[in-house]
Amino acid sequence: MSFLPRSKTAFFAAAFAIYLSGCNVAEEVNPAETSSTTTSSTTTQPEPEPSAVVPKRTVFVRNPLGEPAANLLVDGDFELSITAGGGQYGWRKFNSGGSVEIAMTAETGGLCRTGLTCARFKKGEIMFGRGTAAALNKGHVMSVYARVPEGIACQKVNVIAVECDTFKPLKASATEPDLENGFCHYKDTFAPSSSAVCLYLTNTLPADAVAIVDSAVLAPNDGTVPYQYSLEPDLPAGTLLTMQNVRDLIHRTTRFEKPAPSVPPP
Amino acid sequence: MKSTHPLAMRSTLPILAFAATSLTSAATFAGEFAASGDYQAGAEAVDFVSFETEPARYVPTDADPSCVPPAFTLVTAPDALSGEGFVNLKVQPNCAERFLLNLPAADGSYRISAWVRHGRAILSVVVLYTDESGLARTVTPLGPTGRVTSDGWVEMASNEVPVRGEQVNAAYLRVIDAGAADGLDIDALEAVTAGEFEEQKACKGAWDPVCGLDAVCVHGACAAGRLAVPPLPSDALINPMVDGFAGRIRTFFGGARSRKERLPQALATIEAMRKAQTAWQFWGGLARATNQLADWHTSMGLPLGGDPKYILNACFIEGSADLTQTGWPKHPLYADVLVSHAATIGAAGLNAGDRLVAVDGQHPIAWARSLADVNPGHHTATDPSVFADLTEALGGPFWGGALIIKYAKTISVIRCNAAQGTCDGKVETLDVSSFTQTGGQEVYCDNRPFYHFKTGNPGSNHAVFYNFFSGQIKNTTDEEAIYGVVWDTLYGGGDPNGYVNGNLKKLMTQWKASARGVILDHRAGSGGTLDAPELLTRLVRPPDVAAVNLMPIVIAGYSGPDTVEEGLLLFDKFKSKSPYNVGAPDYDPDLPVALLLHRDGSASDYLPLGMKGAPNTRIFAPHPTAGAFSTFVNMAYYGAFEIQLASGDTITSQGDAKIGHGVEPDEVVAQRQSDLLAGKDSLHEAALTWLRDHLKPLETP
Repeated sequence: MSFLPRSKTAFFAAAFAIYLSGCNVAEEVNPAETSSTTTSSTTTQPEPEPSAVVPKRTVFVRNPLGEPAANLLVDGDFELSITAGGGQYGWRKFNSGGSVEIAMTAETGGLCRTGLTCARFKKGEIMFGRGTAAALNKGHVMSVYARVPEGIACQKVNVIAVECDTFKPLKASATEPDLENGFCHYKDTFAPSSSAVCLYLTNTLPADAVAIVDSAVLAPNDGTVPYQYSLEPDLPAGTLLTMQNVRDLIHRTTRFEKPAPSVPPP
Repeated sequence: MKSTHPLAMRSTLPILAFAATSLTSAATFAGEFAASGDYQAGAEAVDFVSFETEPARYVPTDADPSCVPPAFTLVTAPDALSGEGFVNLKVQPNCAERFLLNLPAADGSYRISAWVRHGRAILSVVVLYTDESGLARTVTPLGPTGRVTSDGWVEMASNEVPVRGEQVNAAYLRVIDAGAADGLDIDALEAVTAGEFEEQKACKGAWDPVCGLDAVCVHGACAAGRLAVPPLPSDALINPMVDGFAGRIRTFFGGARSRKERLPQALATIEAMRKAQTAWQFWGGLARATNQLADWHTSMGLPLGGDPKYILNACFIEGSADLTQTGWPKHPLYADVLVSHAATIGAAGLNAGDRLVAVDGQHPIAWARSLADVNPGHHTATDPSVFADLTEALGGPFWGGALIIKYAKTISVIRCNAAQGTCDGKVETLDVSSFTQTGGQEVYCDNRPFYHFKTGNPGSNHAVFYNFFSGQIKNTTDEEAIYGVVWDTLYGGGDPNGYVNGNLKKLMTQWKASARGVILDHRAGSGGTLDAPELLTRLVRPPDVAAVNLMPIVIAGYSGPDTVEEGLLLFDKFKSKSPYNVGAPDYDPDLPVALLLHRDGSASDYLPLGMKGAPNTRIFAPHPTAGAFSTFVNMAYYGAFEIQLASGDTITSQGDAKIGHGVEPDEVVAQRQSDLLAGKDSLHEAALTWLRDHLKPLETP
């Protein structure tokens, strides 16, 4: 599903890539060479020496906070939401009915597209990403990546931008037709919002299938990216009902209280 | 605030100042990878556990039996990071797994690292010493270096941990897993020599220069900052990470007042982190920036320092020292500080009514404010005119405040005699190191010198916390029918019939049926969720929308509204989306309700906001509430620490942005020193007097 003509989509992709570039500090550290040294991300990596040994792994240095710094999501790269307890983290996960919060589960390292951590997403689960609206009445661009098991369509994962307060759907993201390094890419644009914008992710994955979700970005559309307003997404009634369950649960349990003291563990 | 303290200077000090020790270098990697992709221990490694065989464990003697069985299985697989083995962990809730380290008998410092994958590892290295050594344990978190592998491994490392080799009882890696669907893998546990042993120095007071630039004097000992934080980011990561923290805070922090008044300074401090040369300069800088945001919800908790050396089983309260102001005048800005209550043992001989005139020669509140530069997790009101949190935190248990025993050298007091109702006027200065080290009953600080129910009062340790205490007020008649509740939590949690809301509902029903006056004693209100204050307002006022919640922050970096007109537009826009609903059609207009406040924030700000101006309600307090009119977002940094960041604002129906503006009391009442000596609670007495003048009329048969 795409709300953009193909030519505009291609332009969008290029412009959005420009937005993301310059933020990426990921670099490969060639294990055959100086694996313990780090170099600037702008340094051209030397060509590896021909070797008969096929390394079982490669080594990278990545930003533990994820990218980009100007994300309108609290934790777009899924780095700061994995804990042993609950809280008002950038990403929160719910059961299929939206009535119970469940623990985020993670994948790590180079199995993720960016950063050190990414999210595991199983059948029927719902993920909610806390964000805010672009300033200066700018429109928005959103982008999320997911790696789904082979043979499963990218459309089994759905990315929806919603008003955080009401869960009113703002845009159901289009899916790029081609995989990008094995990842499905969900990206789209939508209109300015005077209410905070959050991401709502659902899936219709088969039982036992796990998608890896990563590199979520919500950003202002600064005019470099043309976009067209579209009608509110036409979501199934069941989805809308579940969304209200999640909204109500988050609203009812939003905390207004004192920070816990910090005590060394036993 | 002292600008000359080492922590405050860090960002501008020359690199040379930090170059004298190996403990100051930027994060370096431990081992390296061979051309095959196999990990190899570093040349400086003194211990390397590659998990080819069953690893040695440490189990505390007092461990819960359910935590004793191994929480891991040994796995042999070709994708082990080093060799062919690793462990897969599934740690039970409230347990931990511990892998022993075999460190040299000689003194030294070591950097501990391990590789993890398929989940979040919450790791710390713990060094326990023999009882005979008298040495305190050290607990140091591990954090990510940024190095990862294509097959999912992530490197975690500690800063340099000083170890007194011959005195060690056990040194181990403590592991908790989170977010690991099929267990967390760990491999290549490594200890690398990282410089000389560093003796922990004794010190006196938070500002003792003996601790140098990378330590803070806590509990009379120099606490190395690096032992509370992850490693310094590598050169490649330091700027992107500064950008990442600055970007989040710039986008999401606070509301109108807090952003305008505090954000620029905090961002400047974060900017200076780019030049950090040590882990403590970097992460301590972030903690200091967080403190500079000066917000009730905002904190970066770091467990800096070890166990307490001394105790002070006493609590302090702002008040009016009416018996001693002649000899020691009131400070022009700050209230007098009095002993609210104290244990009979371990309180330095302090008793209710004694006056704390100085800490390290300064007014106690001025001294407590100055700690923002050194005390991670410094907790303060968002309203800059309110100091109740700092005053409360002077005493109490070490985990809940205890600023004096953590950071002070001396306290100066004027002692009084309750039996005679007099004070001697003599200022006595006590050295904190003269306090007892153990014994006595721990007391908790709740700004309530006394309790007033005929039966069922809280105990002498003032442990109110999440409990409800209610009943008929002492020294009142059955005909007066004055009842009350003492409670601190408003965490309804969205459950209308849960513990908090259920208790409140039950009390409200009883009061409506049989009370002629009610005292709501909420003097240590720690907030909760908005359903509970909304519920309580249904007792006292008709329905209305008192305010709207623009939170977490609605527009990136929004610092408005700048005018009342803009605020009114926002109120109208969000009135149906995110209202703070108050009141009910069946409220009781005849029932007088006195709300007693002192140190109250967040949901405990909203409670008086919703009750203020209600027909038969009166708020008694010494000053406004904390003005913490927002919620917050959490950020968990790999188990090493958490940041809680206030986000958003509250706009009233008058168009005012409330963050940083506490709710003013209807009647300002300070706790009087003379009352304390006479066993009287000034706020309670004022409330009782008002209630007796406004009792609900008796129903005519």
